[in-house]
Amino acid sequence: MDIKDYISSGVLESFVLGIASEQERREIECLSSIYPEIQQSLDELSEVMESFAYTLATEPPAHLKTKILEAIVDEAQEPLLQPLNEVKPTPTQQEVQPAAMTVSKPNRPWLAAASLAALVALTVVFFINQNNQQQELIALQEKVNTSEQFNTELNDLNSWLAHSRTKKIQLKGTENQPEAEVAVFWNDLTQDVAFKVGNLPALASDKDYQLWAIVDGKPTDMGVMDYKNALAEIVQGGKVAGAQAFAITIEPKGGSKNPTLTAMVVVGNV
Amino acid sequence: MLILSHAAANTEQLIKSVRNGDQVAFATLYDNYSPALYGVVSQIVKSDAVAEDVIQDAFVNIWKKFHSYDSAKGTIFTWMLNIARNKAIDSLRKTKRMGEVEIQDSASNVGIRDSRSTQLNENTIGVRALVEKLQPEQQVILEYIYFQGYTQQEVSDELNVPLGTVKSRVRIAMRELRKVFKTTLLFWI
Repeated sequence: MDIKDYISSGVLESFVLGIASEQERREIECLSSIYPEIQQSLDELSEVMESFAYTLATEPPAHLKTKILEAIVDEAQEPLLQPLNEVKPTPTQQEVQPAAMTVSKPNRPWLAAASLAALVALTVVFFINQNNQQQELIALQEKVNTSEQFNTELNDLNSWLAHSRTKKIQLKGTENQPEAEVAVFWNDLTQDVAFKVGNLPALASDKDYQLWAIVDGKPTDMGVMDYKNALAEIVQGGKVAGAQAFAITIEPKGGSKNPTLTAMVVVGNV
Repeated sequence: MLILSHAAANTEQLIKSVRNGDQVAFATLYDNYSPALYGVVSQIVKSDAVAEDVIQDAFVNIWKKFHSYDSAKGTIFTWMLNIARNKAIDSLRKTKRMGEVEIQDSASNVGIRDSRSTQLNENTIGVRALVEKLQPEQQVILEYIYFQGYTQQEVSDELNVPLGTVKSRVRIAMRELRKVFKTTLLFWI
């Protein structure tokens, strides 16, 4: 909008004379607070009207002052409607015009505080996020490492299982646990032993399954088993040479030196 | 200039005091501005009795609504002047409506006429000198709009002149008045 055109349009004169429309008044209220040139023109025009009023000045009768001052003693001043959301009552008559209009301003300290709080919150979220992301990255790296290691192990296991000298020994359930079934793998060259649980009943927490290799008719401890592992597992440090059979017994937690034969669940000959 | 800024500082202090509910300060405000307000109101309502009522109504309103005065929007005088003028024009319209009902034959109407002519005689020396510097058509516009509260459309209808012409006359009248006051002020200084 061209401010000069607006000023010379005559709308400011209408405003000062009190004959501007409601819409024009609102417009001028708004524009005068934005453009100093408009406010200045309004001030100049108002000054003209003030000067004009002074030329008409007549001393009012003395009793009028007394009457008015008596009238205001009991009249409380109305507070200015301050809150932004409060609805201004519509003026009943063609009330007070230009200068009397007030525009309530937004609560800026509150805004500033809110903005600051939002900024702080965003920063915190950012750092937490970054921290989280870093932790996630570490976890992911760990997973990858584990996975790579696992993959290597699995490849190794597969190679070992596929080795011509690796034998699969199917251990069958005894009378104690007819349904039990475990596969044992043994390589007489590398002497490594592995097993894969087919079906073993769950144990009480104070019990363990223990694997035995029978060599020359005597049980050799191959260690307790993680029977819940669904995958084939190489028995760590459980090399055995000249195994004739393999058996699994239920032993107290941590295993026994000698197998409890009455608690044997599966057995299989090589 | 020193005197002017001193006066401005006084006005500012006065406004602050009235804002705080100081009735003595309000009395000072009355002393400062009531002659101009009374003069304008009298010109509009053309009756001393009505002018007194309007001025009382206006000042009570000024007191009550004082917190809504915003110095950023204009001077306290302009603010008070607008309140008083609007009250006067409201009163004039009411009287006019009543006059239409009474069909001009009542004594009260005659009374108003009489008092109007008295007012004009008392006040017109300054005003006439001033207003005579305006073109007659601008004088008429000023009379209708400023003293009778006509809208530009009403003036257009009343005088049977296009609205655009009324608007430009208003603009010119204000510009001329401004010139007059600037010259007058130069004389005074």
